[in-house]
Amino acid sequence: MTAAELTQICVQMAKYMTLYGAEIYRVEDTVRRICKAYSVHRPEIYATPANFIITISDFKGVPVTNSVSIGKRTTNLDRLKRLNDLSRYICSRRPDKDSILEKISEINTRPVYTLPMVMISLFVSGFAYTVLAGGGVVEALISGSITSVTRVISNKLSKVTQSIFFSSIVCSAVMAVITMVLYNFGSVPRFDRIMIGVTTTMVPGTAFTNGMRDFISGDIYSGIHSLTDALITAVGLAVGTGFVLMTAMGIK
Amino acid sequence: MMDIIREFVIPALLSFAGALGLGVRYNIRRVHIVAASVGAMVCKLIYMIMQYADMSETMACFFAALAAAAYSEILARVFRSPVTMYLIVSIIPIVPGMSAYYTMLALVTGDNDTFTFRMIETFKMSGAIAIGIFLVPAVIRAFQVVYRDHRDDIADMIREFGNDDKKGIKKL
Repeated sequence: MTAAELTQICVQMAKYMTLYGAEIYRVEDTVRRICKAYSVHRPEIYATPANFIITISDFKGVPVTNSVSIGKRTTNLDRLKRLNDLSRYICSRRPDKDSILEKISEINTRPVYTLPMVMISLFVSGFAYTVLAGGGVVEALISGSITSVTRVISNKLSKVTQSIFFSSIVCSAVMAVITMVLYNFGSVPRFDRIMIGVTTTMVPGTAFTNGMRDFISGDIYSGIHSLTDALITAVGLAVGTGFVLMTAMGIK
Repeated sequence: MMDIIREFVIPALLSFAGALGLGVRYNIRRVHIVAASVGAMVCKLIYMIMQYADMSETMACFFAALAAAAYSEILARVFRSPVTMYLIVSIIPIVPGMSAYYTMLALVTGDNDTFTFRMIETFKMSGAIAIGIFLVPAVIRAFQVVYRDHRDDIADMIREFGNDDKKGIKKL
């Protein structure tokens, strides 16, 4: 395998691992291991949640660089696990470039849960967390339905906009509007339980956890990037809910 | 008996169900989704037991996060998959959603005292969770480095300890 081919593989692996929600230190570690398997011992790697650059020297000492910019990150832990397995396979077997790229594209077409399935499971989620927050059965049922509906909305929004702030504002505002309308009709005794339950399912867990884990491994830049991501989502949730509540309660 | 069911068993089962739903959203498959949801149940149980033992919410969150992180590290070693897969779902039940909501409500209604109080509470709880997540891999990594650098010494020590107790103790 030539140096250029090796950088191509590294870039593809790094891109998809970051996209599917890996921590940055894991991406860096994986690329280092792959390079080591093909006996390149000092790769220069610049990995952040937004882009990835790798430079290696070929056998004449000529540097070869390859880079990729990474789009909006999603969380797809099944594909992440497959990529992890693939990197282990590459390190032990050292296959050629074409078969690796084929395997990566195979992983990228792995099935995801269908939308109805996701909606049903989010219904269960919203139901459970509302009861945990102290809500009754009626509130839990409403909260479950709202959770499924907001999932559809955020699905549509992710095709329109890249901004997580905007989509979390819209989702929480929709949630608050539905809740307040039902409250004014008198069908919901305690609207705060619904809001707490639904918000729990929208919490930016991936960004928070990844950010903390990046901090441990000393990758401060990526840690700040991910934690800011989490903070923006959380503030967006508060702004969306708060705005609707202000309007509904008539606070000036 | 009924108290135990109402106080511990039902919330644990509910957090299991809730985690299962979120696991589907994060597209976790097969045995892993059940394993991750059991982590959520363990986390919630530890949280409730700590609160039952009159511990403050912050400390309860800390120990629950510690348990969740340790559980996920173990599972990741067993299934040879990324830790994140189990950790993200496991810590969901102890997320301070309630105090975050009341912080926002106090901000909206202009009640500054409640706002400050609730905000500090939220930050304390999420900080405790963060430290809990932080601590487990840090300790594991430290042990790994020590083991990697002194593998032969440790093996020698264990061997000598087995052969001749006095000698081993001296060396330790």
